[in-house]
Amino acid sequence: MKRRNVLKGILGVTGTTIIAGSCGYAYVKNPSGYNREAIVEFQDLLAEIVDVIIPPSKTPGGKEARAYLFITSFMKHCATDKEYRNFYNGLVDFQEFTLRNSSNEYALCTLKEQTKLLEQFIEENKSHGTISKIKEKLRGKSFVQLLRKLTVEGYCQSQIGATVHLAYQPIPGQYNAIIPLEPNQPCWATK
Amino acid sequence: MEPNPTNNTFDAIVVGSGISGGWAAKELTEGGLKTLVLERGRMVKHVHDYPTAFKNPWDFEHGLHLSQKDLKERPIQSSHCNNADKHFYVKDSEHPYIQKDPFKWIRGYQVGGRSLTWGRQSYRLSDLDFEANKKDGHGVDWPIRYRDLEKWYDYVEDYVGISGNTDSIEHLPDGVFQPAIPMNAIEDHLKNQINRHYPDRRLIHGRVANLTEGKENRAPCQYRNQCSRGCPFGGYFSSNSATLRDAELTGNMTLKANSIVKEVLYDEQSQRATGVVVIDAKTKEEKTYYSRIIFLNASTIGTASILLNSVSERFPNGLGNGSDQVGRNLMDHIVGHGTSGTFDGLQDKYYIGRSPGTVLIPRFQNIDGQDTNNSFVRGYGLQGKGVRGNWQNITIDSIGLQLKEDLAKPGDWRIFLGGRGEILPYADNRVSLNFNRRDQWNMPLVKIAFQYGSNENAMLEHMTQESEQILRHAGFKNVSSYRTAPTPGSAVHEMGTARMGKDPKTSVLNQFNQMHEVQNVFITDGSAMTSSAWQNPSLTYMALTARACHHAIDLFCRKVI
Ligand SMILES: Cc1cc2nc3c(=O)[nH]c(=O)nc-3n(C[C@H](O)[C@H](O)[C@H](O)COP(=O)(O)OP(=O)(O)OC[C@H]3O[C@@H](n4cnc5c(N)ncnc54)[C@H](O)[C@@H]3O)c2cc1C
Ligand code: SF4
Repeated sequence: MKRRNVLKGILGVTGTTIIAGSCGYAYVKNPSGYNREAIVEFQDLLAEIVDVIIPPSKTPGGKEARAYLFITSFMKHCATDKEYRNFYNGLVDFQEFTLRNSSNEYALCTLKEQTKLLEQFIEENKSHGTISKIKEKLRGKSFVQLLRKLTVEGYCQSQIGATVHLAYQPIPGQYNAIIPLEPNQPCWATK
Repeated sequence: MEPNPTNNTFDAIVVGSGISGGWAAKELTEGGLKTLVLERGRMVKHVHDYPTAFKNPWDFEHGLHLSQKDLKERPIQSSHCNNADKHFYVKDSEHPYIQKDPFKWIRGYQVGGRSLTWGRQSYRLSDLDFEANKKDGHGVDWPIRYRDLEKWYDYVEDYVGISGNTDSIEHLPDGVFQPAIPMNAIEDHLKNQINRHYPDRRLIHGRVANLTEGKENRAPCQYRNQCSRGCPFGGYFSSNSATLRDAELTGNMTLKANSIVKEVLYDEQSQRATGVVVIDAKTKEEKTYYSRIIFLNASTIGTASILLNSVSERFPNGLGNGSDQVGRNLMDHIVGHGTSGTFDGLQDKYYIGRSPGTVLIPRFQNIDGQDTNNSFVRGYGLQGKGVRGNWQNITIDSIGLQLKEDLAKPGDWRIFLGGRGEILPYADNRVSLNFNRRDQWNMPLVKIAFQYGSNENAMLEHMTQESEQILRHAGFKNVSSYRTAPTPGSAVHEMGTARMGKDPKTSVLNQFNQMHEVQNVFITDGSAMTSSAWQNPSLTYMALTARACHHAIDLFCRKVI
């Protein structure tokens, strides 16, 4: 997505005015009137990001498991207004950040570059200790917190994540309460 | 009056099809009575109407999370349901009530009621409980003792299928059990540690209404731990999988869904209830049904509100309410802060299957010769569950391959302990009706007033401290109690609003759950409870129902009622 499109993405948010400030973008009006469909514009970027957070290895990564679909769906339907705002703004910020710090579009970067960019961004946007707890209460979970949490859930509860990377039995049929853990035995995907 | 469905006349009417109503339907129809079962909610057919039962995690667009729309529709229920079972919980937006004080009224309006979503914990009361009111003077004396209910506990347990262990604990009598669901490594560890550190305490297998052995038409539990979605195998007890099905088989049951019972009709001359007025939930039309016997099983708050709405010259304050006790003495169980801890060891142990079972530390306070406590009377039990952590418990501080590898590793063992404590009967904790505010069926809104007393607050503190200490003694780390105490009502064990007692001046029901003042009306849901005890109560409602039904059938056959 080009910078122009990024702005279009933001303007897709209805009923809000955006001011670019020192700390990115802030919405100043109508905090509950978001057009949550706007998140879909970031689907491709999210597909890249989840593959960086959970990269392909012997088992498929976040992109193939389509963890990003869970994230966009969560954002559309379940996130609080604060969470949605933080997440959406976070994506905008991240997009800006990558444009500033790389000559390529994020999708075209190598996995190594992508990882470095995301790690850098996370580092810069990390909140610390008690401040973050208070912040979280007031402002809702941060972009970084949400991104990692939702990627993990989206992956582990996807068919690929649950059945290929982890272990899942739809109908166990039995309960063996105490068994030895086999070497490299994967974790159950559900409790 | 001969039973004749065409003129709306039956031998018996049962109001509500949940845990207790299902039992009333089964017992009355098996006793040969033509029985009309009236249920305000929609039809839920066993297996057929469990739309999410076979869904995998990825079949839900946003997992088990409720949407913002769900939260708007179910602001109260949402703490107890998720995206996979919300359809078995009412929309608060459609069924408003007034909270004078915060009180969660968690409801399932459908055929089967909350038998579909209940936690299945099933424990007997003992004489420690039945004698408590008399001994310490709170509330009125129960008109029955354990020996009156014992054979009925046997009877319902055998039918329901309770998996559990014979533990020889006097104040938690053993019952008719199927083999217990075994403990996993961490639960077993906690059991051994408690034996070591506490001579007065034990950790036992939870007694749950999940089959470990099959029954006719019901397969053993398949260990999916998704019971609240409805079990396609019939692996746990619900009205839908068991009692209603057997009632249906007798050919004596007429079940009408979408039928809101508005009031019970009373005839001054015969001094009997003659029938009920029903509002069709969809068309809002009213109809009257008649019978010689009426069982009210609309659940504690529902039943109290029907009684309070049944006003006649003889009973201006509600049917059978000469004592002014209808709606009063509302109880629940105290739910503790919830304590958890993690354990470093036993890394080489795991399990296969998802157990719907639990473990229990039965009440250990204020029992003769044991830990006699001065800060409160009565007591509480601690229910627990141990699991190994997974992605849900991981702290995510990296990204990339390391994170991915960590996700696949079984996490540390952890255990959760949740207290359930007795609440005393207080006259001011009460359900009343606000006739000035009405719902879409023009029914007056239920108003709930409820506050903990000093006994409850002291018990709550104690339960949290002891839970933490138990886990620390057992070698757990990161022991913490992680939430503020949940709002009253959260145990979903509301009871007491039409209590049993010996004296018609201070109680509503006699020793057979028959209204003192209206002989042909029986109430066998939680409203009948004279005290709350500490045990999960539904098994006791079932036993009381079966017993009352047999009494009612006897009176019916002898034409006493
Ligand atoms: C998540 C959860 C976990 C639980 N865990 C446990 C547990 O582990 N152990 C335990 O013992 N208990 C547990 N319970 C509580 C248990 O579900 C209730 O105690 C039990 O269902 C009460 O039975 P009941 O017949 O009184 O009411 P319900 O099962 O609620 O049934 C009442 C029925 O009456 C209908 N009704 C109401 N008003 C009217 C009216 N005016 N006209 C017609 N019909 C009406 C309702 O729609 C409903 O179907 C749990 C409950 C929940 C929600
Ligand atoms: S855990 Fe057992 S009883 Fe519960 S839904 Fe699964 S199979 Fe049925």
